[in-house]
Amino acid sequence: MKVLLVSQAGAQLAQLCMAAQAAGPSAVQACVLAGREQADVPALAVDKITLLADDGPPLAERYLDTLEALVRQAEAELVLFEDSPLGNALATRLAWRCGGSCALGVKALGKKGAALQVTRSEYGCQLDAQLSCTSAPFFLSIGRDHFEDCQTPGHPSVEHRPLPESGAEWYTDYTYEATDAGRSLRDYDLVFVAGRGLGSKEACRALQALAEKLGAGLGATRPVVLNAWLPMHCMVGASGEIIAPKSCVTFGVSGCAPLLAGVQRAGHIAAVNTDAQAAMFDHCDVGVQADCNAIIQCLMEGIEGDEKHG
Amino acid sequence: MRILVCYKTAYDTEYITPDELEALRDGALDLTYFKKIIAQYDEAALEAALRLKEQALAGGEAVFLCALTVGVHEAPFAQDLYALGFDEVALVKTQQQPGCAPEEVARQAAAFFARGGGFDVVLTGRQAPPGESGQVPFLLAEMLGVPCLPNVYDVHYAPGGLRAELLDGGGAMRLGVQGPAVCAMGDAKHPYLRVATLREKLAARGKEAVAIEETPSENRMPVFERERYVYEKPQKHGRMLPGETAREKAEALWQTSIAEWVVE
Repeated sequence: MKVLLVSQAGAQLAQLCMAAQAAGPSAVQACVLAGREQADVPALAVDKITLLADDGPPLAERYLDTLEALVRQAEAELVLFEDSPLGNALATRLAWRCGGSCALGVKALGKKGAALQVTRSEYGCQLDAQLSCTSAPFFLSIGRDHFEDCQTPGHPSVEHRPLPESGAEWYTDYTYEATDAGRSLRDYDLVFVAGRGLGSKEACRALQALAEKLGAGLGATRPVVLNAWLPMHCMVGASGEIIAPKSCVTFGVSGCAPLLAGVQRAGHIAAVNTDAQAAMFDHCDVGVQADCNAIIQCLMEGIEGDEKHG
Repeated sequence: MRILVCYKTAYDTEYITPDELEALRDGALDLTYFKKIIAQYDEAALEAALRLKEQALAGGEAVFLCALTVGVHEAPFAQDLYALGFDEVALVKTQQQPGCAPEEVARQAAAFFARGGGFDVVLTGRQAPPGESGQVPFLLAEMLGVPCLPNVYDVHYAPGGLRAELLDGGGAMRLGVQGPAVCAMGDAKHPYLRVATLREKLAARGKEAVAIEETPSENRMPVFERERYVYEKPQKHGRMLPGETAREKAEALWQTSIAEWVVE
């Protein structure tokens, strides 16, 4: 099976490379879509890397014609993208153009006879669906962190291919502002997650202060960021960060499936909630049935007491 | 300005129990007992459309605001949408529930777009349960030959078009858009649909969705067929920490879950 990997950054190609191995590839090519300054070519075990480097906005419309030509030229039967807004747009639209099949957010894949079998989440991440299709080409976006990074180095040939000048521009006044998220939540051994049960922005601030005191990361559920109690980059779960700290303590988190998808890889999970029936208690190692705000206050008082006494 | 919103209703399974999930996995759960809601990202699309309408009207531009859903029998929430200010709610009546067939849904929406004389902007949610394919907005854009803005956080009216803010994981893109475009709303600045007042609801009483016959079509993309669902009941059942007071419980939490990983 001939495989083409398409990614915005060289680092993510390593995961796509491992995902491709599950399909038993006969040849693997890669394509990196990057800004001119980040256009590093990863030394991966692929046959060839095509570099589409420019400084325009990362919008699918700018890449589609070039990628369609690449897919046809490579006679790719399996095309893998990262699970991102751009990757999902490219996978779907290229599948439509090439008469291929498409699945987004794939967590596992493999060959079963002539069919390609994939697993992805449905019902709000509550069930995994196992799907199969026999008609190549297959266009898939691969969910984050479901495959290890490929560690095998290689010496691929590199081709720089310019993007065609676009015709009539449909967009104007493009700007990009990188999120000032500081250190990634994935880098912390201890992460606190704020849930709707905290009840207010002030309570989230108290948890933030506690996290800062302890050198812990601070995540949040979707309702918390949608209420603007914490910034969007704090969101943990299916549409936010997937984290795997050594310990994760959730405060006022009910335990719905999309959030669990983000925290279930933690080595140890503790849950604090007033509701004894909260689903989070079925997914944790230890539980505390109590008012979150009182627990946060007691933890803070304990730390400040220790600081006073040296 | 002509604005089209594609929306879908879904069963609210946020608080579904592990036993119910096992039954759902085995095809033995009757979901019709669950509350029906507008899919979460579609709800953001409907609210964004109402805000665009308000801004365009304030800018002196006439607005036609239409909501479209694809289904078998009914357009749920049609009366609520009329009450909130939608000028038309349309239902493309299909022979079978389209469910998880993104190409079919996109094709019906594209046919409606053409029949309605075109729209300046189409708003959708980025994905909806149960299938959550996430493909409909992109397929619709391909079928219409227009751009698609993925994971939109916020949209504003601008004369001759709109301004959009998109999130891509690493930051926020902002751009002006001219000409027709599909906007797929993601985690949005205004995620919830406003609630109509009693007076607005009374004024919309009796209004029904306009029924449209489905456009016959053949699918072009091969489909990934569902073989089975996989679900395992949670294996962890938290050991409840002892303590009579919040202080005692906080102390137990500190010992078991925090102290070892504190960064000095």
